[in-house]
Amino acid sequence: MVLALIGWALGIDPMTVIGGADQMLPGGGQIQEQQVPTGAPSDQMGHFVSAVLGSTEEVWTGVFTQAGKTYTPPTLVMFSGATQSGCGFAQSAMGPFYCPNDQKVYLDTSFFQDLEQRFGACDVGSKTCQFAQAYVIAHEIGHHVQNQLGLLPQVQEAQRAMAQAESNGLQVRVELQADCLAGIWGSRAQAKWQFIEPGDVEAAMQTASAIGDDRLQRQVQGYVVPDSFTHGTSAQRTQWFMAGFKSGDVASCDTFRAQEP
Amino acid sequence: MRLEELPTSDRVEDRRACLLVVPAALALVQLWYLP
Repeated sequence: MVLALIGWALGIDPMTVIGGADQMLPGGGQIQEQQVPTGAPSDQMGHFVSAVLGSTEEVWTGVFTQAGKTYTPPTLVMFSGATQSGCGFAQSAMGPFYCPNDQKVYLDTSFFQDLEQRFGACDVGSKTCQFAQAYVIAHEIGHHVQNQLGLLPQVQEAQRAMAQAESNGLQVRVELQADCLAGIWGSRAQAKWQFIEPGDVEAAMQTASAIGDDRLQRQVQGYVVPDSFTHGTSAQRTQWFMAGFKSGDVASCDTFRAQEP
Repeated sequence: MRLEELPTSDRVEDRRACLLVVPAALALVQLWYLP
């Protein structure tokens, strides 16, 4: 399960999944979609995921409508252990990810336990951990927003012509923007439903910091290799989440224009 | 956070139950090879 967190935070999710989809599908074939009915699961975790997803739908529909665009919400797949995705076989070890091929977010909820227990991303069992978990979901939804805006295909195209380090640098900007978009969700959802409680935002910050590339690399290998970063440092991740959270404005999330994101 | 304030989505695909079959099958295989 440590691998799940590291995989998610070090680049497996989501763009590596995007970029590696062909490699993950022997023969380049498209995996047939499982016919699983959608709905709102009645258990506690299912209800939590459904509520976070529902709030992202309303927030992003509003933002897109204001901009004269149409938001098509993604489906969120909850799974245990492994499942098929439009980007290949999804396993817990990959952590949560967004697959642009089928426009679905994949989430093995055991990832949340790791977030709390192994990495101290928030205080174990505390209610504030819920908002930290919601931030993780909102980050993946951020990738769907990027996809809806046509950004992901452009980035992929640009990355094809780049050396690895440069491509990673671009990837970091994609991920930090998803953090910023998660902040916008938090800000706008709070304005609409006043659902955030004291300590929640701090827990999300703690989580963003816990899954920074620098912190994870230090924990795993004892040193950092900045050229291999794909999600940004702890400081960058918290900074961009807060940029979105404070402004609630998409214009504040232009990580591509920032000199140093 | 107060969940009850938030609207729910019906776009959740729950595949968790499907995967319970895998460990169950593995357990059966192990039982089969037990002396």
